[in-house]
Amino acid sequence: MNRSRERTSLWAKAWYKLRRDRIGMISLGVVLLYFVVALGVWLGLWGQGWSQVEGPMWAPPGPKYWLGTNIIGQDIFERALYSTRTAFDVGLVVAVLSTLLGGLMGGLAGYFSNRWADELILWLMGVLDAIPFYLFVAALAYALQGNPYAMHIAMIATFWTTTARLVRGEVIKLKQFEFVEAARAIGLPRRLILFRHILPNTFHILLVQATIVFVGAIKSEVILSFLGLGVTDGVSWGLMIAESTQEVQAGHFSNFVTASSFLFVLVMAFNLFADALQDALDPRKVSA
Amino acid sequence: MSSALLSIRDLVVEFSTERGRVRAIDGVSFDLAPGETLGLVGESGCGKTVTALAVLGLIPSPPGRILSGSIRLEGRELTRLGEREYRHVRGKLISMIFQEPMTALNPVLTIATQMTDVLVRHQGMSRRRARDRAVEMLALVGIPSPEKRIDDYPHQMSGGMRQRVMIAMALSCNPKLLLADEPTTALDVTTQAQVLEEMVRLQERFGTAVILVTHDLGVVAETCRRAVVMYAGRVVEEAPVECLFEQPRHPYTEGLLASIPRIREEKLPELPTIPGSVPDLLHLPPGCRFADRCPRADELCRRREPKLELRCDIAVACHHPNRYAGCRE
Repeated sequence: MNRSRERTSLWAKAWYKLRRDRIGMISLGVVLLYFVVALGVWLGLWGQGWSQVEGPMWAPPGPKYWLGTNIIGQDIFERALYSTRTAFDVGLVVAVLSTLLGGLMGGLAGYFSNRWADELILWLMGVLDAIPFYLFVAALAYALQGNPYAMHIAMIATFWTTTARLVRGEVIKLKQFEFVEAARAIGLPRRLILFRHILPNTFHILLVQATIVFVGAIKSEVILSFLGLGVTDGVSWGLMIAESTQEVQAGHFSNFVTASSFLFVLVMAFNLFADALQDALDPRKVSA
Repeated sequence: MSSALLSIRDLVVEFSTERGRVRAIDGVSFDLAPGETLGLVGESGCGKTVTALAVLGLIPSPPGRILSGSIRLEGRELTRLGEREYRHVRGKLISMIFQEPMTALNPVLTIATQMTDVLVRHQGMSRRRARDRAVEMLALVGIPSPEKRIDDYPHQMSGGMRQRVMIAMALSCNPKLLLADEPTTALDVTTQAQVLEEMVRLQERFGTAVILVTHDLGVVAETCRRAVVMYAGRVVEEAPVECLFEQPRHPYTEGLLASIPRIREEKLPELPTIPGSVPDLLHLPPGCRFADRCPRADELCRRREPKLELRCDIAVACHHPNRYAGCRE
């Protein structure tokens, strides 16, 4: 066991370390459970009855409706399940694309710092950051004429700037390192130096940023849906919370509590998992 | 000197700083024969590393630039090469090993990746063949079970091993010239000796010429045939190593030699040092740059800068050098 472990790859080592992190593994389990739920909805195994009006208004939790029904008699549990899919939809798409975009732009800006490419990217980031987020989303939603991905596009277009700034700073730092000079000294082209030597060293930033953006996207989706700028062709925890504003006043908390709890547990688990993953993946810590 | 592998003439490298322009090296000239080992000696900040980087075309620009002078490798002028052409020189004809083996290897890539990249690029090898060649090179520098260690990450190796890997990588394309920038400074004394030995052995085997940049005169005595002593961006003395150690002609070289800690018959109350420090390159004195720290400086030294004058293998830039007693060669 000992010898085989010594020879295995960085990933295997990271996995070995992660496995011993109890909180990390529990939160990974929770995230995976959510993911399975979302996958099930995608595959049509459950959560399909989210839009059917089948019960009485505000039925209490029970064997028929596990978490009760909402103001128009829809099954709250079904709706919460379906919303998991919506959350992953938004979170994954936004996290992956904005991280890729941010990493690329940040890498270019950092590598060519103080030259025109950097100036251009910095200017673009400044402009995007200067536009108020909700105005930007509203404008895009109008411009894209009810495209269900208007919200995704708006989030990607605004969320990448933070990642890019962090990566830019890190790349400027890494650029001074001797291994970059060594890579230049053995005649590697710039493309290879940036994409093979520098950007992989920002992986921990990208990973943490991706999880922050994932969580941020889910939270923004809730707010946007609440404002009527978000999900248009389904249900989400944000829409559920929006509905519940009338119910809470009437003393029915199930919709609100269900949506908030689903959201809270996922966000919490994802953050804890991201922490554990970062510890496990950091190549400078793996050997310890 | 047309037989020289590398020929540097009147090289001037200038850096723009906030306080003005600084000549980090100012009129450096020397030659290097194929297969020769040359020591480049001096205090920190005297221009040793800048000289090495200039040869590789890696002066950070801006703020630095080569103002004038020429660097010729086998008669080919390097200072006029474009970036793309230069990339085919680096690693293939000229390689460099760095001071810090801890940071000179990329922490997130395996040794295999880093070594094969060079071979694929310069020798046009397939990945598989490059890997075989890399394993071969690792074996040559004395890495035990190289076919296993090649898949290690740098952090899994000790400092000495990493420096061996650097040497293996630098020599893998069989370059004509190896620039070694303080290759042993960051290592333990015992590891230092091993790594140096390895380097010298491989250098002889491949016939690579080496410029050894160091402030450690012991290392120079051990490995080099000739040494160039630099001070404040200028060459002050160039001589065969035996002459340099037996009879330094420039007072600065003399001071450097006297300040080496060593086991002596009786314990000195204090290790001799050279008083003062290297002058600010922004405010250089009009005369000899060493005059302020020199015990022999006089009016002439403060007024006129001495030229580098060659006499029987030894070049020295001083108005009052030690008497020349003739070298044994």
